[in-house]
Amino acid sequence: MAEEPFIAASGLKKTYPGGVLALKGVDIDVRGGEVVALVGPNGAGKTTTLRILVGLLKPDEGKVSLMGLDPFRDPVNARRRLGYLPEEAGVYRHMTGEEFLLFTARLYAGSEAEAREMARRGAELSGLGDALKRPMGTYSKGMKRRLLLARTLMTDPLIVILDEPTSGLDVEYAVDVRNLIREYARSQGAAVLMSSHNMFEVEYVSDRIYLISSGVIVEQGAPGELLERHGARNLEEVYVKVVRGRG
Amino acid sequence: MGRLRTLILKEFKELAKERTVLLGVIIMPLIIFSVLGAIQGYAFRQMGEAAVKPVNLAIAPGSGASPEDVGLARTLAKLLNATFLQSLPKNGPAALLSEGYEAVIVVPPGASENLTSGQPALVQVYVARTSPSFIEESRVQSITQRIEGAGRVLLAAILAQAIPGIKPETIASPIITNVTYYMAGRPVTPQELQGVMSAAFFIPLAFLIMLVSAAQVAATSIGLEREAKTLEMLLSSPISHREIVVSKVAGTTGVTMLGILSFGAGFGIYYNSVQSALREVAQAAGGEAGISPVINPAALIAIAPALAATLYLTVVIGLIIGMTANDVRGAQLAASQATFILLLPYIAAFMGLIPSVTGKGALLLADPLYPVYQVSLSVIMQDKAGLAYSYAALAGHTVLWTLLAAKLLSPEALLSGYNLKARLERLRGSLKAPRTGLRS
Repeated sequence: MAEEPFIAASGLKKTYPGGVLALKGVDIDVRGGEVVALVGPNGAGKTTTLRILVGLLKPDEGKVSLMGLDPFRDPVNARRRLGYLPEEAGVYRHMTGEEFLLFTARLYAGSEAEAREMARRGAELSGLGDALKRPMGTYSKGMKRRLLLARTLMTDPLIVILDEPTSGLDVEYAVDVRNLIREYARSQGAAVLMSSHNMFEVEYVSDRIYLISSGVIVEQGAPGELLERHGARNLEEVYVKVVRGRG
Repeated sequence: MGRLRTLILKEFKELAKERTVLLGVIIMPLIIFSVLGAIQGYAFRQMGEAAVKPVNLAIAPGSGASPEDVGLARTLAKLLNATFLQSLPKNGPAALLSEGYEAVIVVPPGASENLTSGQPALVQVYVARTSPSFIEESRVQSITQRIEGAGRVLLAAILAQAIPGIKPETIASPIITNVTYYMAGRPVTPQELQGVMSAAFFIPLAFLIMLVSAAQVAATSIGLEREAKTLEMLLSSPISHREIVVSKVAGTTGVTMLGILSFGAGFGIYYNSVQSALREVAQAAGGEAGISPVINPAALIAIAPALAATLYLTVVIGLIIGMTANDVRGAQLAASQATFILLLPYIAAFMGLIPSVTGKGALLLADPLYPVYQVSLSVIMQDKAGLAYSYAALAGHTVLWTLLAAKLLSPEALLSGYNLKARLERLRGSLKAPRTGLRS
């Protein structure tokens, strides 16, 4: 019998006020130990899908399950297993990096000792060193992104949802992040769902890909399968063929 | 409880460190009221001194004055300790003023005749003004008051000679009044009334400042999160939506309390400076202290729940208003505009422009920030019925706005905010859109 997916969503539909039809029936599932990429053009519905999975946006129709829990009915317990990095996440400008990690850890941990251990792990993951003692308002975009990614993973989530995780990062750290994501999913047995515009990154990191366009999943499969199915040399070609083919 | 404490602390620290909040709400009231108290105290002392300081006066009869007019001028000079001149110099009063006299009094012809025929004697006074200030105004006023006072003493002395046994002070003020006022059906002495009026001025003033601060801090709390884009991550943490809203209300209230403490300390300094200046001035003039004590503990206990509820309402309204902007500055501006609108009836009532019961009733129901004003007035005037219906209105608003906050501060709303401009444009678009069936 196949293992139950950690992330399971079916028939997601969402229309924004003003009549903008964002999702027209999206099905997604991600199993433990798997890295799945959600790719598509701007405005295709990637962020809306991720926000619904996290329980931040209510779908008009459809169901979401995070390890068997409904994030709308039992948000606190569902999010305890979840690490989410939004695309446009910012930081509290008056807090230091250290204070931010400890603040976040205290929201997840059962005890102060556990929170301190989580924050220590976050500091290590961020690789920001002494800069963690500075107010976050002084950080560069890349430093903020590194800290937020560390904050997402330091709680050892079994479900990780990352919206454009390497956006704003320099090449060197982007490589580290890609390796970290792959390694994290394998070592922790976590389900990772990430969105990205970088097809090289997607090909390198993901086990499976969902291609979304105009609120519909238009293609899915392992990178190798997609290349073969479309007779393409790389995923960029697949992307262009599928998206333009629909246009 | 631990998570909630963590959230409240974060809220409190972020707000207290925000420059606009730190300066505008916490530091400025202390500085402004202290400086204002020092300035006003100094001004009162100067005005008091100006009123009792000896004045360098010159008195002369006008051209064509009768011997009786000259006699009147001479007597006035004696009473006012002024220099008597037989006549005005060639260049008139201006020449005397330029010689250093602060005022020149001219008794014109016919002044004494007026007195004997039962009319007041018109005396011309020329005063050298050095500035348009209030202190200078006080000095100038004291000169005319001294002349009029001398006139009364003169008249009393003349009558005392004519009617043996009569006391000059009885003639100077033949009737004195002892008024008892009635407010809300009970007698109030003039001293009590002075206290009531002071309370009716200072308590709403304190409320106004406090409520504006609370709305500003609450809107800033949302503005900070929206500007820094931190809400999405916070909302995805294992905390309930209720914990987020409660922590925002509690953190905002905590920072507002710091502002209130600062305001209280600043106002205390102001009150003491003014009070001690007025006391000094009154003692120098042979009277008693100025402002009556206004606040008693029983009144404060009766007002406190209304104040706490209104503070809560203001914070909730400030949070909701903060959602209409994408940054701190926009949120603070929106809060200023909204609180100004909500406090307009408050100001109108404060100035006595809403006398009718219906008008007050409508405001109690329509404006969530108005009942606290009516509560404070009812307490000050010991109006039990007024207190009851004001508290009932406040309870209604508290329930209504709590329900509204649960709806308007939903996770989705916190995430996307309220774009009022876009909503208005959509509404305008839908109104302009052609209706099916109307065209052939």
